[in-house]
Amino acid sequence: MSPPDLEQLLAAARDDVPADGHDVRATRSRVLESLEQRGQRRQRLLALLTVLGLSAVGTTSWAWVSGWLPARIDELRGGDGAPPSPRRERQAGPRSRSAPAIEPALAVAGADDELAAEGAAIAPPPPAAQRAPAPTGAPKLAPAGHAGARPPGPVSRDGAGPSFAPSARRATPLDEAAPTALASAPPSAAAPDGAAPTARAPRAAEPAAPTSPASPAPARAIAAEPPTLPRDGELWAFRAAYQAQTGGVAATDALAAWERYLAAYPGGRLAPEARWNRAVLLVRLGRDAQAKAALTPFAEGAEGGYRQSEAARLLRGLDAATPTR
Amino acid sequence: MTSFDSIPNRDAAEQVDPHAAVVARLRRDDASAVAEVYDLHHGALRAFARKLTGDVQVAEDLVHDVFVALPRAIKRYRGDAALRTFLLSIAVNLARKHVRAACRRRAAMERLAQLPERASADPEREAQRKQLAAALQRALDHLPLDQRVAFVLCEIEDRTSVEAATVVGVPEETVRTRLYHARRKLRAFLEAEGVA
Repeated sequence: MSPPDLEQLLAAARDDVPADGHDVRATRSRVLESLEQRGQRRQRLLALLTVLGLSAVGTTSWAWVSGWLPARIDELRGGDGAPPSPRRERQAGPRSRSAPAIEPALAVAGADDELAAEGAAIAPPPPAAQRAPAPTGAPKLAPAGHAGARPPGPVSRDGAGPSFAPSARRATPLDEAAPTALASAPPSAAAPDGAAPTARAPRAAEPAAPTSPASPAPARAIAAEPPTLPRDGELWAFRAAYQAQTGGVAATDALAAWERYLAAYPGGRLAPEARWNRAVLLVRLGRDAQAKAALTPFAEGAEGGYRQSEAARLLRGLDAATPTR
Repeated sequence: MTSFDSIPNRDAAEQVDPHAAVVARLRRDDASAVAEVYDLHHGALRAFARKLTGDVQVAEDLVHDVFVALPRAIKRYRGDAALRTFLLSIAVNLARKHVRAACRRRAAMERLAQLPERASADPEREAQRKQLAAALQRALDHLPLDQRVAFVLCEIEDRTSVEAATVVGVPEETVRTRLYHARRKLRAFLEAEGVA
């Protein structure tokens, strides 16, 4: 085809047919209507996103305030939501020694110095609110004025519960005035058993319930437990036994408190810790045969490695001191 | 039909300044600004859409889409071209699916032999014009969209290659190349069709 034919087509195409007025108005209306609908869709989407955002914020806030979210986070991190208790130390294995824990130094007469580094694992006491209702058979604290009575040491107060000062290499007495250092062992506990609870780091101001009005230092009550710990008879019993051991109560009374706990809760959550504390008290009281029987399962790893090395060292110390004890 | 000699010599009224206020309102998503721009430029845009698509109804759809897209597209408007040119560039960007729709519609109409009739003062001349225009549209349907746009802008709307390059957003040389290929293919197609 020759170019002029194309030109004819172009000329025909260039003829501009005027637009139908109806089409012009109709398209204009369509345009404005489409813009309005788009604006309404955008507003609805914005409202929906706002509602969803507020719901998410509100739900998260409620979950955080109620403690549900911190507990789930702790579970994800491998914790059980509980404070760094001896149980956690046991599960952590060798790290348990370095974990902040209150460990009364345990010195056995005639034993090596390194044995003085061992101590009873003191589990965190139950919440302070649980102290009031004393369950039947729970051990009582030392009466006021009891010689050597010592107020319980400070307990940590953090979101997860009490924590503990690192264990000392030597036996040290409780020293509430020393926030983080371990106190030296009290003289009364040094000779036969050498075991004495070490100072615990005062975590926070706590409502104190002094057990002895004659006590020179103000008694420090157990810190209020975080709201996540349940009201639990078992925990109360453990707490009472712990207070007996660390509150200056006679070792026999503290031993009886641990044995009452174990009798009531032989398979309790803190039974391993309670058995260890009982073993330590038996060593203190010089009941070597019973102490060996109590320490042997730990040394053999029956408690999953918990206190295994400490128990082995204590047994060696007892064996070394056996002829004269 | 508007004719642009070159971008720098464009009518000053088409420069950015007179439309700065309406452009600012468009950026704020003001529907009344869209209506104002529609009233000013719908004619040129509709003419281009019709020539590009070859279908009246599809052209109306393309015009509608251009003005609905304008509040968002205006964010890309830098003011270095006339607003009308910017509208044409939006039409080119949105033209693909409309041209495709027009081709399908045309093919369907031809199959059904239902060519649209429009009343005219000179029915014979009008019929001839329509026949020729339809023939050209059939030929354009065989072109790639880029070449079709270049041909419509330069040959049918009689715009310069510089203006066409501004509308399409490509270099002028690219427009010339596309136009060259479009002409070549159209001639070949028309020869094959036997249009005399």
